[in-house]
Amino acid sequence: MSNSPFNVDKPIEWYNRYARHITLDGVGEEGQLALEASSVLLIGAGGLGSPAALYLTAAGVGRLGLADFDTVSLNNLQRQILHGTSDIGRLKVDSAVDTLHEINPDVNLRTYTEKVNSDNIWKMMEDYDVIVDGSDNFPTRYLVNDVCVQAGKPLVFGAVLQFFGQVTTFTQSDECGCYRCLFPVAPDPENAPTCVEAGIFGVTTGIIGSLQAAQALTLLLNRNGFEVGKLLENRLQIYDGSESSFREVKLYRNPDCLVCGSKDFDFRKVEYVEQCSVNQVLIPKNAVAG
Amino acid sequence: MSTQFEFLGPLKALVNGDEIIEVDATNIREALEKLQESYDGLLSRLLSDSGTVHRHINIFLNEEDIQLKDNLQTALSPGDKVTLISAIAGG
Repeated sequence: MSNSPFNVDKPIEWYNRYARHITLDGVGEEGQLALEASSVLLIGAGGLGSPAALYLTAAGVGRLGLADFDTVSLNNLQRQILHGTSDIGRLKVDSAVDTLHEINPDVNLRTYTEKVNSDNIWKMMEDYDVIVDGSDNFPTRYLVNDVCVQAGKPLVFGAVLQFFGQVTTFTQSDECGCYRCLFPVAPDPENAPTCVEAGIFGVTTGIIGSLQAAQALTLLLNRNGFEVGKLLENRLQIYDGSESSFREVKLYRNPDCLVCGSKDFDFRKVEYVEQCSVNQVLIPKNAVAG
Repeated sequence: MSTQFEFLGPLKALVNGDEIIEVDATNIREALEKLQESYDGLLSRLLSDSGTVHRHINIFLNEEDIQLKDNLQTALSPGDKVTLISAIAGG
């Protein structure tokens, strides 16, 4: 491109779309290209998945996978901003693709409509650089964590309830703990209110889902040599909307963790059980060999 | 100066929504037992029958996990801040 002010062979529309990224110290054209060469799998296209997908798409991640078996309901629309009133009854991933394609048609969107389970998750996630967990139940969360540990796949975790949210990034580095280091098992059903039972202040999902997108983008840039920020590695960020406050606590890798602390762990030996509207995650004693 | 306890998220209901609770105690177990006097049922929701912290709950002293210290026997000093969180799964 002689006489061109631009360094990479991209149309002017590309420069225009990503101008505010390209201007950023640490990103530039090459950083934007790195995002374009990256991929993210989003588990769930609901409250957390909506803002995460919107920002990842707008940012120009090259390939975005969306896994959700559910359809859009009227009571989703208070927080699941990927979807609109006319989408009620449609598969969430179909509604999401329409919305995301309008925001950025250059992103390669892939959809998975089967329910994430032990049989399909490995194949689903193996082609992605980063996994973002926007699921809404403990069995899926533990399954996603366990598979990410086993596959060495970075996982951006986020969860919400009422006015409260948690977010962190499990990088799978030798020093980084996993979700089971923090919470080895799920609560008993009586101690685990769901958003259906306890409610969710809709914008809380926007805050936490956006933080998840920020973590994913930071991770993708950092790992490609564009050091744009510090990840929430071994740090749990806690948002409390009832006080408009953020807190942070330190996480650690538990050497006795049943998952990341065991070389013999295999998620295929674990039962991830969902019961009625509440969820339990079981680890049979024989799940971890040795 | 006493120790400040804060129960976050769904655990806040165990202390009737109180945001910061001041406790005078020498260690975390003693503090929780004192809080039980004001908040009925607190201990049974935090601790198992064997007296250990439920595994879906984590307690942090000045942002550090007490499992890296002396668990419930972790000593408290004036001005310390104890934060309790629970696993949540909503999305």
